[in-house]
Amino acid sequence: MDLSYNAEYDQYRAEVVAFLVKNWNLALARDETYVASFRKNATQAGYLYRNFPKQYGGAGVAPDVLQAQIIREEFAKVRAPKELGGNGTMMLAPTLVEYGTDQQKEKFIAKTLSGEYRWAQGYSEPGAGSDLASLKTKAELVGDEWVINGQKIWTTDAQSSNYMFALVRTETDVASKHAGISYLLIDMKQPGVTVRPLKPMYGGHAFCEVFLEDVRTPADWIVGERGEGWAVSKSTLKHERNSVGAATGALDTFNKLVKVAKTEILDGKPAIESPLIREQLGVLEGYVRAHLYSGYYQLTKDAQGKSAGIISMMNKINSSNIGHKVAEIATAVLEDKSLISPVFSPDHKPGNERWVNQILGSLAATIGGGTSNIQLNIIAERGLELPREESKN
Amino acid sequence: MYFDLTEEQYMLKDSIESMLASKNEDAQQVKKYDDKPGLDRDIWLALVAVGLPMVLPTEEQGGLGMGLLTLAVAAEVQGYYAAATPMQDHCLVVKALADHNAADGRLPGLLAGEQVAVLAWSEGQGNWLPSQWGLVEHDGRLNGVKRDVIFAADADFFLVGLQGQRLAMVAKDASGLVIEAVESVDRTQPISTLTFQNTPCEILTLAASQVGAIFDAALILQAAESFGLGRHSVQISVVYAKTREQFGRLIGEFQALKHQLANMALEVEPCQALYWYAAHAWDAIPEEAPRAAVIANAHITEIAVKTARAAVEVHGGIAITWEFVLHIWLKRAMHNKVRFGLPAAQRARSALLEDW
Repeated sequence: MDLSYNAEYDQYRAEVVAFLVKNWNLALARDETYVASFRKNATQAGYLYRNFPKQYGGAGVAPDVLQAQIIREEFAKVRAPKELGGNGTMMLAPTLVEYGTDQQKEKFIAKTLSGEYRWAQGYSEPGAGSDLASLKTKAELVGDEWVINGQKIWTTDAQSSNYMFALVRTETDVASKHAGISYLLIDMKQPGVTVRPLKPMYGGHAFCEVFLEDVRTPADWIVGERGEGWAVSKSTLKHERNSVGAATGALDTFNKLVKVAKTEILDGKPAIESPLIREQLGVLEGYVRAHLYSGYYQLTKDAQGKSAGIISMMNKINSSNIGHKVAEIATAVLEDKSLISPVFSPDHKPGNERWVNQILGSLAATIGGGTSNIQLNIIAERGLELPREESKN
Repeated sequence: MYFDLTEEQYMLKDSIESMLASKNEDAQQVKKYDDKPGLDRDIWLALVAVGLPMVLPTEEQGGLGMGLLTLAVAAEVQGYYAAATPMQDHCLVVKALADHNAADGRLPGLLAGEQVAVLAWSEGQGNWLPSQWGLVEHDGRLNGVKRDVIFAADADFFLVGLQGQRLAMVAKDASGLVIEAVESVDRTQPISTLTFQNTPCEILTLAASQVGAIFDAALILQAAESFGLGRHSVQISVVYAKTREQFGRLIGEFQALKHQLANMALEVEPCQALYWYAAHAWDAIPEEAPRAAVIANAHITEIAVKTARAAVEVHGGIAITWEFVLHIWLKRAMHNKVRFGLPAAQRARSALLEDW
């Protein structure tokens, strides 16, 4: 057991810090041009888009999870921007590196990493949620174009996306529902694509429905072969899995909750002086720390290229379970402030009622990206090796 | 950055595991359990042979100085097999005595496991913490009561907690000491009440911080042991779900049961890193140790009980019977949850330590 980094990594950390001192000015964090040029410099220095090839706008550095962790820690300390978030950089670009043709890589990766191309993920459908492979959106090859018809849902950022990567049914008469699926790239800015925003219960903008009617895409905008879409979507590109990131986030949220409990008054005293609130926070801290230190263990295993086993299947559900408990305590601490709908505007910053969004949003976290019930299936079937459920379709 | 056990620690774990797997497999448990409860000498000697009492004392003190994490890993395995010995207590008494005087004449016999020593801390009614110990020493003599002392009938020495966060050694044959066995729920760690009537004792010359560290270590070792108990509950339930059939299928095929088992694993598995961290803090980050110890102890002893109860539910009727092994783990988990203070008391202390 050794929580320090060795001399080589200490040296690396010093380099990262020196780079940030020289290149990052927090006062300019809202200046988009400045941020874009910072990202470019940080990529050239090997700190962002680390494992993407240089020719496609990445840093071309070999994976090293400890270096990646150091970068995350130091960038977070000075609130320097990391890679752009979103489906394009996190899902599409790594998939293209692994499965794309040279033309596809050439055309899409660099502009995706720079943020010029934004991507929508076309996976879920109204009838295909947890059972994604039962999706019905169809694509037919007509001449040198795919003609696509169907509907996608829960499509994040669909309004602002230039392109969609989608799972569509191209094959019939195949052995399984999975074998009929292909992975297509689609231009969103064309006739036949209708985007309808869905407003989440906690307000703001989150996701959309996308209707596809005789939408066209070139025959060679398929990633992988016909019928290989399921495997392509599960791209296991070697990358620096962020096994402590979510857990560190849980600790941050917990610490903020403690702060709120110190400032909100219940029965004439700070809420944190209530024995009930203290006990609830104490219980939660046990879960938060168990999750965090389990992340340290996974980081260690990742660095050795080894599997951490069943614990690595628990990250998502641990995070969302912690989110539920945060919501419960926050509601008790906020008392009647939890009845106020927070207003965010240039001339109004909400008070602690901003936690209402956390309370409601914690529910979305248990559903998106694989529901908690599906997570439990994964732990039971892959982790505990219990018999698999037969599919009826 | 290496948050994992060393090769050496994994080897120690494996060797204790294979020893206990042969000496204490589930089938043998009920019979042992029905016999007169007390020290399992066979297992005791095997644990001594591995060198556990030597682990905590430093090399200058004549020990191995391998740290609390190593001992905690051993405690985990003893919990997994519900081994009936007071090895964790014994190792802490050895450490306290070595801190007091490395040349103490009692140490060789204790290090060799020829004598047995246990902790006498509880005064009941929620008084487990060093700051709550009320027993008073007067002119080297004790008058009063200590409760819930494990393996008292087998012990040669007691490390007694006194008012003012002090520790004293009392020998089993000291005058005025009466040991009264209690009919214990957990027969793998039977308890007794000690009554002192003008009983001679020897105060150890330890600073309050050293006494505090012994207490923290006790919490951590017990958290580790409770993780072992919890993991056993999950394992035995998973095995059962893969063999028991109802409605013409393995019960492990039913999603209700799968989710029950997954939730048990989800509670228990992250506890490993929690106790590792606490033990590591005790070894290397002492300023974090008191809080890490209470958090780990509260969290894991609570989950061990929850998981043992869930395991009984998974098994159904058979697990309600005396002749099936599960109640042995459930009762030990219940004992561990109370011993050294209930989780709520631990959490109240953790809140104070953080200045909430």
